Amino acid sequence: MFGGRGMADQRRSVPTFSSRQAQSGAVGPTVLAMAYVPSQSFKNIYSPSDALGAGTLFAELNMPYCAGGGK
Amino acid sequence: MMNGQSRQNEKSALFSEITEISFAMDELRLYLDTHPQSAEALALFTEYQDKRHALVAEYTEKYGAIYSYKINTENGWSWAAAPMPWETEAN
Repeated sequence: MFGGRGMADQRRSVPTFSSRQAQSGAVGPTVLAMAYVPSQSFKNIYSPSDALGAGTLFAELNMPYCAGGGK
Repeated sequence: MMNGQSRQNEKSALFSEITEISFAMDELRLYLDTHPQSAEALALFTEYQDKRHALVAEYTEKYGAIYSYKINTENGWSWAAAPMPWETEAN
């Protein structure tokens, strides 16, 4: 359902520590880490036959695991 | 009259179509769970729902019930009459 591939494109909208926080080394009430998952949109839909072969109905989510970074 | 082999091929092809459209509907269901307002997804789900219904009806009519709830009992107990999935004739 959800993919993480959009991360690079979405990075700018992810909240980050302010430089003041970074400089002061503040770690008190701030979060340690935050996961971000972009919302999927309804596009690039496979035919039922292609979907079963790919393991997903959504072309965006067709991300076969390739050991070695997909090279 | 169709020979046994081509009947078997047609039966498998029809069953494959049912499997494929069922998977597409599973995927659409997951999408709609998180995007219930998507009119496009809902329209495709409805389209596939009708198609799947027709395919299952056709299969059941031609080759017998896929679900035991749909067993035809007009001429007695037919569920166990067809070859079992592990028998050559069933594949």
